[in-house]
Amino acid sequence: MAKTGKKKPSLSKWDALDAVPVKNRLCQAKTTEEGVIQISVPVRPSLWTKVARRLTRVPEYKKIELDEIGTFVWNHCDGRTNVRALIKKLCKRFKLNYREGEVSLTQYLRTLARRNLIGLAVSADGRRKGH
Amino acid sequence: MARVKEWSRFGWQGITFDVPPDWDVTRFYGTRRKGYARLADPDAARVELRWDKPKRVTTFEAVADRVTKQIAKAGRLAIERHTHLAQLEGKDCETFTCRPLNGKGPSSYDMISICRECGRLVMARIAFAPGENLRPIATRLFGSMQDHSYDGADVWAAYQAQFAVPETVELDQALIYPGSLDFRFVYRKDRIDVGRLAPGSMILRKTTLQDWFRSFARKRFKKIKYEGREAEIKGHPGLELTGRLKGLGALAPRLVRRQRYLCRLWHCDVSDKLYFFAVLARRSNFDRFAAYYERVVCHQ
Repeated sequence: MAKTGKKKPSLSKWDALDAVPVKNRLCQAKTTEEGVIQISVPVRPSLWTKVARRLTRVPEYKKIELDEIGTFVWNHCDGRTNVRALIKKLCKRFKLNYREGEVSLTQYLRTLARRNLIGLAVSADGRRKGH
Repeated sequence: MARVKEWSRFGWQGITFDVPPDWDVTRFYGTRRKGYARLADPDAARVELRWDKPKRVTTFEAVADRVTKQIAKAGRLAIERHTHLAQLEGKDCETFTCRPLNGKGPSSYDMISICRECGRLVMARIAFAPGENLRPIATRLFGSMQDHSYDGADVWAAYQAQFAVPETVELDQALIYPGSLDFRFVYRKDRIDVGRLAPGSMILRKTTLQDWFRSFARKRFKKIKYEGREAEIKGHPGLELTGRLKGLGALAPRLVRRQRYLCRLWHCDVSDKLYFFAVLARRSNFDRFAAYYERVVCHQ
């Protein structure tokens, strides 16, 4: 079979650290009484949910409650703060060393991205060379 | 690179060695038998570690020849062998240096060793850019390498956390999330959970240790019925929780092998972190596993 030739975009570590996490605009966030963020994510209607919706009440949103650290990260996904700056802020606020902050935050952002809560904005001309 | 004044101990899957304090694990996979770990400094990946337990080894020299040939071929590297960066007692060991043939890209100090006692094959690589002098670090790192435990306990050390578990248990999961390290080890149906959460003062700002643990345990230890009491653990305020599995185990203890549960949880005010060490094990393993909470180092 012929290959399409379309490569998956790959990011170097430096590009990833320069990327800016951006919230998904379809997600609605509200602060609970405990001061943490609760995110309502619209459920993508599958055939089954469409059928189920006719028979019973199926929620259109699923709710995800973040913990205190998740709330901190979510509040800093403001479209301006890049991952590198976010790591520094996280380490300062929660007294982590830089390496632990970097590894854990990148994993956490990956989890948020996999759940379609955030995306990573990378500037096309911002690619660094020589790293 | 500046001379390293203080060193940290890194420990993973029974392998331990000294590293500069800002080098830590960023990627890992595999089991105690065969696996991989990568350590990085704030700028780049530095150490790559592979381990295996080959079923049959002809001679160490044959293994070293094969490995160096493979490395040279795969990476188009010039290899300088027998650099004598380290000599390890009780092990067959060789160090060598790899440099790219075209002169571009990083070079590396490498070590391959096979333990005469446990038969473990360890390959370690320290990458360095042109102009960098990591030779003293490589000498220390390779020279301090231990590939098996000496007292039946594997030391795990990463991100300023250090603890030990019996070498018979297998790592089931290691989660690194902002502010939390969470390790689970299993041995058949028994398990050990070790974790660290930070910052303790912030977590306990609006709640007590007991209430916090209750909400934490609701998800994590939902199959366990426990009761707790306040206790001083390692000189810090803490909780000691004992219990048993809910369900059939409680109803028919003679039919089901009963597992006992013990969790010690404490707030280390020196490091401002919460630590927990939980054991769910059958009677035959319980006391031995539970004693390992002593090996959790919560502050220096």
